[in-house]
Amino acid sequence: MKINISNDDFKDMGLSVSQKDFYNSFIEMGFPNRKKEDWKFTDLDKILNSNFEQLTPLKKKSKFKHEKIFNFDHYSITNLNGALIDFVFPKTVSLSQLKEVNHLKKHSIFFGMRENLIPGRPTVENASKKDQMLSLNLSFLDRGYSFKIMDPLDKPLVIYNYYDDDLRGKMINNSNSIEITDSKCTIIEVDIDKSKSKYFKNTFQKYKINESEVDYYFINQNNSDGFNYTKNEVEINDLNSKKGSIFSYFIFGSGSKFRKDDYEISLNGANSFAKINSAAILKKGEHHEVKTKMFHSQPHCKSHQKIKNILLEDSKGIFQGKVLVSDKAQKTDAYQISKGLILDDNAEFSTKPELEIYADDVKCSHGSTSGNIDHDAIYYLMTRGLPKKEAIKLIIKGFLNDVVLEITDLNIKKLIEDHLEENINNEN
Amino acid sequence: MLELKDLKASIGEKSIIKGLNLHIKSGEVHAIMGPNGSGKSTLANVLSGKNGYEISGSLKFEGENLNEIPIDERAKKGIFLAFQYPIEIPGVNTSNFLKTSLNTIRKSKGEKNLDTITLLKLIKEKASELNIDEKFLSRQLNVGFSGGEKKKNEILQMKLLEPKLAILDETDSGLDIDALKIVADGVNSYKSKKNSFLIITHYQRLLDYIKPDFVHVLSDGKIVKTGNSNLAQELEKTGYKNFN
Repeated sequence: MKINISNDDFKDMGLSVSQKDFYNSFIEMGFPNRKKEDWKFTDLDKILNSNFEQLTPLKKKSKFKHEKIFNFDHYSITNLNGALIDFVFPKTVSLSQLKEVNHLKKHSIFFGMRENLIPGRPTVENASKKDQMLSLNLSFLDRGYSFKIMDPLDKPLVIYNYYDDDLRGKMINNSNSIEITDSKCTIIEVDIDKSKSKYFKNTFQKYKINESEVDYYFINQNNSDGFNYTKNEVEINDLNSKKGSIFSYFIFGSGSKFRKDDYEISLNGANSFAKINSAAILKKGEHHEVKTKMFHSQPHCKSHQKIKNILLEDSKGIFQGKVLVSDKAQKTDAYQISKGLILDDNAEFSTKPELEIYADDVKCSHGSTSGNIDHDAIYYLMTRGLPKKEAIKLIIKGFLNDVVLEITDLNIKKLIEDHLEENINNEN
Repeated sequence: MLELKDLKASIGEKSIIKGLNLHIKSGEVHAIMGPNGSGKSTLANVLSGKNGYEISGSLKFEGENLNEIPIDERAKKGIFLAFQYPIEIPGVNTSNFLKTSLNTIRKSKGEKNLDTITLLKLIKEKASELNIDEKFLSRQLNVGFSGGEKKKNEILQMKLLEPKLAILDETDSGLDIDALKIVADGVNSYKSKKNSFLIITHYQRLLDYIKPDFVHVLSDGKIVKTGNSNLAQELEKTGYKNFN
């Protein structure tokens, strides 16, 4: 894959000298292909090559007037093409000033945490050499945000990610950082892109959760040809509390041509609890991978992962989930299930659950199933007057329902039900 | 109401129903008894419109030929099948399912959609008549239900949807005596001059509670004998060996 960049462009984008080093290191490695274990089911190099002639880093940071799409009361952060353009934050809670990532800050944003996350992680340079997506991100990183929440939030915070209509052939590299301490809050991140133009976005996002209870929802409201890779690094720290942090992450990722949502979650304090729930309805040409690495480094932590995919037409759904339990992490409770409901002969569901356990007193389980729709169930529902299409819809909703049932907030539940409903209706 | 003439059904090369004639009038209760493999459940499936069978002969419901009519349309016309093995549908809430089904059927009759509160009240009322615990309505459809609960749920659906013809496919199997009595009471309370029943069973047991007007013996895909309720008692003594 050719990246369209000249020396002048580096200057124009205000990129630093060290960024060029990352670029050189990226060029040496290229985009990851299926030979890399982490990319086994997603040959990014091949996928990009068959969809782009070349990628041009997006330079401009445009502004536009956006409409808030949620009608319930909320705080907001608004991004356009990955760049921060607006925010509405509470005055009553101590939320540190939202910052746009600048050049001085951007390297520290990334690496401070990364080194903590993986014990014995080598130097910055080596780390980036191992991870070509990170090298690429650091080569062109010119946008993003960073903020801290230090108190409970009385309303949900919505992060709106808008996109320009004309991003054909463009590449966006952004990086965000969210730190939440002594808080209880709900964050809804929503991607809104109806542009139908092919672009590639490479996002690195980190979360630090300290003694907090966080519900995080990612909702893809796209019906787009966007290609998105997002790496999320989550560090859950509980130093003092006996109760432990709870981080619930929901992924509703259907609607883009390509998505790979990659999570590295580290449970660093005793009694922490991480949940990953994903429900997707994948349609024509969609490729969606959820990949997780759950590090249990302390005792008495829990992690629950539930992945549900409906696969239509020639879509591809992938789940790679690894649970790693260190020798210290006794009494770990780790659970993982992935299920695919395949509705078309051309659709695929690939899954690779992995457990790596060094402690001896733990409860770890994983399961994975995939299969076709139950024709007897369709028959049964039809004998109760439901037309075939409605019967299938009801079965699909039922299949995804155990993810939806995990949502406790009624506003958000409604939002998600509508999102899934829309995806189901689009199919027919 | 239902008129079958020389009905034949086969799957692939295997013919199962081999020329069956049956006439059910409004208000009548017919029982079909017969040994395993005689084609009883196939008959129920064929009447409901299940795919996968090759059908010939005439199959008329209220004078209309049913052959080309899909399953859901048959349900809307008033044919109801209580399943021998009700299907478990994970994630689908029982009362939501009942609401959807009832409103679909009502709509087809030109009746107004019932609002959630009225619907729930109606569902609870009918459920309590069948001694069904309210909690059961918030569970997933048939998932983890006991045999008896599943069968009661079928009868609950029948009472809600108010079909013209109810086909009960071995509704008595897997029921204890108390549940059998409750189910039978449910059926009897629904019986009227306007609707009819086709009860498929192995045993006379259920027919002690629901008195049939006609009893047919089905053997090797054909009705080989028809009588009144005495025939069922006779069969209980002699078995099906005379008909094999």
